[in-house]
Formats: sequence, structure tokens, C-alpha cells
Amino acid sequence: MAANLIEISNLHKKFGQGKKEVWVLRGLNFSIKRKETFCIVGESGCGKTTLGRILANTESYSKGSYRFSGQEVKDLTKKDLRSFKKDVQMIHQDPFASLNPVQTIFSIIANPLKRHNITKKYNETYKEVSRILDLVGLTPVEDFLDKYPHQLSGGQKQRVSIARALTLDPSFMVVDEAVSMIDTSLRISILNSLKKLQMKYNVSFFFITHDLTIANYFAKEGRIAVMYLGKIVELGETDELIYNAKHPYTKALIGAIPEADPIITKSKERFQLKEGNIPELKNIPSGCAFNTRCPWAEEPVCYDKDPLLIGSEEHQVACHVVNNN
Amino acid sequence: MTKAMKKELLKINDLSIAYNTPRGKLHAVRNVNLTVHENEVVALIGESGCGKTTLCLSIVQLDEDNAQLLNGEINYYKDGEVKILTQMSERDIKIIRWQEIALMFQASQSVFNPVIKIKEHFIDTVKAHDNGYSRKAIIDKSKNLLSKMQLDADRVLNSYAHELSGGMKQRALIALSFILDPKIVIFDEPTTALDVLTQRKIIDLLRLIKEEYDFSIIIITHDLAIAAELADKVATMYAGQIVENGKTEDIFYSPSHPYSYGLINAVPKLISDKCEGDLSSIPGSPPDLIDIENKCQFSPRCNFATEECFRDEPTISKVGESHFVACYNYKNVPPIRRDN
Repeated sequence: MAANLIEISNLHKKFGQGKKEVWVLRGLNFSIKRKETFCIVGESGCGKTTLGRILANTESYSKGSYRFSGQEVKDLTKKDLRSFKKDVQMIHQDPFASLNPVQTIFSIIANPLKRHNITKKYNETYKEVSRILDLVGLTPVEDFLDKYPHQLSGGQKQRVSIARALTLDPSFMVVDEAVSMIDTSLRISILNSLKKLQMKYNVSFFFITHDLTIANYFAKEGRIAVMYLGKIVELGETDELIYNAKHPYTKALIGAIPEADPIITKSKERFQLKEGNIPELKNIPSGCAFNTRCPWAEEPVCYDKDPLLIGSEEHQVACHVVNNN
Repeated sequence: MTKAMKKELLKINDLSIAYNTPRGKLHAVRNVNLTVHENEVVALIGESGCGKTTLCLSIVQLDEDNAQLLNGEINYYKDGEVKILTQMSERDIKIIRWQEIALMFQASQSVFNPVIKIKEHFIDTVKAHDNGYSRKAIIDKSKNLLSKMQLDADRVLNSYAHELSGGMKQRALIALSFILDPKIVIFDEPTTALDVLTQRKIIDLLRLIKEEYDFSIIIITHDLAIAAELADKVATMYAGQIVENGKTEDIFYSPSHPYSYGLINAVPKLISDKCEGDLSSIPGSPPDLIDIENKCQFSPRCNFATEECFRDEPTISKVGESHFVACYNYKNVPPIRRDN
């Protein structure tokens, strides 16, 4: 058994061919341990969802390697793939769109059980479905079994998605913005139930979010990676990354987030970037991709050479200026 | 009522609005009282379906066809005169709309007509109100506003909506809402669906433009952080009612309604977040607004509920200097713990 559940090295992904070719992931290196929570944060278009889809094997990768439990995912045989699909589950962003509207909650949860021959008789299935619904807090279970997704609230639907992902006892879950469409008052309880399940079943999480506050809460004992234009610019243990951010982009993000506290939010230290939008993926600046917005960018190194993600086990940064000092 | 120095600009009195649905009347707004003063930023916070958008649509009289005004009125004060918006004819309200009160819709990304240039939107808007501006004057004014929003005015005016990024569209729209110098601008979820850095930019620009011009803002948001950033006053809405209303600092540090308290405790903070254990959700879900029982609507979800709460619905009353709350047990709600 490999020490790391997931090992990614030099992973690339391109969309399109020839002139329309766009590289959305440009050389990623990281690993996820068993039972670890790994959060990925970044602005829209940075490639975080594509990465999540590759990890769940719903999207292929163009270059590099992705090993799951020591096996290269690209080379999985049909039989291995079946157990991979059991081991890896995904929870989608939009609970309104990810549940089949014409199936009852019971069938939504029962189908994977039957498909993978986990339960055979109706009684067994019924018992297992009830157990799982109870686990995600949809109680009393009898009230939910015969309902259709449209009869549930957003938070309840997201719980059904979580329940469905749990049916096959996965060891790895890709969670894509699972709470961004949920009301504030319910977010914490969804995140808490995910955390509880992790304790109980030793699941690893790959948690995608654009919201550093959510990442900070959810991955308190895990790690956060900050992504910019298809690359990880900073990666570290959560507290280390938040309180000791080194990369100018991370600093800017932390300073820009409004806090739900009038005094703190108005007195927070800001980190000003240069004016301008995120460059398009079609013409990524040469050298460090961040150099168009970076107030620290130095001639010539930041314009010639792509910085590598280097540092200690706890904290790695991809920035020439930080790493040269 | 309050000894505010500022003049009242908009006053909502005991407003109730219901939607006629096949299942019956859905009471989306119930007995709402709210005052907006000159130069004030009011944030309406609450969860989806609590009636905040319905309330704001009724201010500009743009309610859905099946909406029905049950009672109450909305008064707008202009040059010492009172205009009752809820009783105005469609022709009269058109003059108020955008010229006096502008509304920036949610999902503003898709507000612009995709087949005409941005500048036509500015021209059309002004022409619709027919105040004798020439095309050139309108363009000049738009340029001025757009550059205030730190946009490249010439480029934006000659672009189509799809040529602009989300943040640019949002800023162009804010500029458009100021084109007729309104006295009140209503922003419905101004920064949702924007990236963190873009959101920061919009917040800073709003604050900047607020200092320069004289106008009031009503912000509808589910994001408490936006309210904390911008608002002078916060009103918490639950089940169609304003359950608490007060100065931003009062609401955030010493909330008196259990729902406000619950909301504030449900939001994780990035910095100074040492009290993780204190974060908790509000259990349960909001009530169905079709069958409303005579009890505190929040009582089934409330940790502070007593017998009284299930017998009769509390009305909003004054608990402090411009601080109002609708709760029998407001004295039991503890202040928010601050750790710095």
C-alpha cells in the first residue's frame, strides 16, 4: 500500500487542438495522504474544477502522471476502473442539478448499492439506505424515502448528494463548491457532517472552493493550495498558509476577503496588486504567469523563468522573489 | 421617532405583500416598517426566500403580476413633498424609477442587451426619461461615471456585453444606475458570483463613489460580510418580517434577535478565528409562508424560545437607541464574543 493515496506529478491538461489549444493545467505536483483534507482555492477559470474532474476520472489528463493507490489512473483495466469508481466519489456544486428529478430519494441512494452488488435483497437495501440517510442527518428517514428532489430544500438536497456519494464507502471524495449555493445558516452544518464522516470512515477530501474562509474552516487540520492560471502558487498547512502567507497572490486574496465583523473588516491589512484582469489562458505571460499583477515582479528573472513550487513539507511557494531571499 | 439629524428619504409603513399562488396566498412581506435616511446605507440580510427581493421590487413598483398589496404604503420624500409610491399610477412611477430610485438586479451579468453596445444602454436609459440631454451630453456623462468606476470609458462604451469580464459588466452597470443621479440605489446581491479580488474592487468603488455623491443605498445580501463592509444600518429579515433593525455595530456585536445571533455565529472568519467551537448552524428550515400560524415564526428553530413564543407573534419594538427587535426574549440573547 502506498503511503500517499494520491500522487500527482507534472500533471498537464489541454483543451482544444492546434491553434485553439489551451493549457488549463500547467504542471501540477502534489500528493494527498489518506484521511487528509486537501483544499484548493482560486478564482474562476484557474482550473480548479478541471483538476477535480481529473481526480474523479471524469476527465482525462494530457501529460504527466496521476497515481491513485499507487496505480496510474490512465492505465487502469476495466476491472480496476470499476473499483476505482467505487473508491472515488464526487459531490457537485449544484444540488438542484445533480439529482435525477424523476427518481425518489430511495432510488437515488439505492441504485449504486444495487449496481455494485453491495445489497441484493430489498430488505437489505432498505436497511442500508436508511442507515446512510440517518448518517447525513436526514431524519426521520421515513419522511424522505419516497420524496422527489423537488420536494426538498437546497440543504436537504445537498445532504442527499452526500448520502449518494457515501453509499459505496469511498476512500476519496472530490467536493466541488459543495456549500456555495447553500444558505449561510446551513453551511456550517453541512461542513460539519462532512468532517464527522471523515473521522468515521477515513475518507480523504479534495475540497474545491473559491472562498478562503470556508477552506480555512474546513481544512483546519489539512492543507490548502492556492491556484492561479493552472498552477499551484502556494501550498501549505492551513494555519501556516493563512497566518504566514508568502505569495503576493495569496496575500492579496487574504487581504481582500470581507469579514463578517464591521471593525475587523474595515481595519484589515490590504495587499494591493497592480491593476488589471487575469490574463487569458490563451496568452499566458512568459516567465511567472503572475508577473502582470505582481507588485514585486523583478527584471529579468520574473519575466524569463517560471518559478518552481519549492519549500519545506509544511509550506511551499512558487515565487522567485520569496524563494531568492 | 428617532432623533436622527438626517432627513427621512424613504419610509415603508406596515407593508404586507402576498403572492397569489395555486396553493393559496403566500405572504412574502409581512408588516414591514423601514426608514431610509439621506446618505445612509441600509443592508437587508436574510436567507433565500425571506422576502428581501420582494420588498425591494415593491419600492420601485415592479412586483410580479401575481403580487398583491395587502396593506401599508411606501412613502418617498422629495423637496418636502410626500409621494406615496404604492398608490402611484404607472405613468407617475416611471418618473420616479431610475431617476429617483434605481434598482440594480441580481444576476446583473445578464442585464445588458447582448446585441447593442454598452453606450446605447446609457443613451436609451436617459432618453426614456426625456430630460432633453443631447447624445453627446449623455456620452460625456457616461464617460465621467465609467472612469469613476476605474474603467476605460471609451473601450467599454463601444463594447458589447460579451466583450467585458464579469467585474467590468458589474462596474458598468453601477455606472448606469447613477446616470440619472438617483437619490436611492438598490443593489440586489451586488457581489455574488464575482471573484474575491473583483468583489473587493466593487466594494471599494462603492465606498468611494458614496463619499463623492449624495445618495442612499439599500443593499440586499445574504452575505453578512458585505453588510459589515458597507452598511450603516442592518435589517434582518426572516419569514417576510423585519425581525431586527439597528446600527451595524449593534447588530454585529450585540444582536438582540436569536436569528441575527445565529446567522452571525454561522459565518466563519478568516482572521482571528480562534473560537471555532462557537460556530454552529441554525437547525431546521424556514416556515412555509402560505400557512402562517400565530406564533413567532422563528420559534421552532430558536434556542431561546419560551411558551409565550408559541402563543403569539411578537411585534417589533424599541430596545435601544435606534435598535428595534421582534422577540420576547431579546434580553437573553448574549453578545457576540470578540477575541481581539
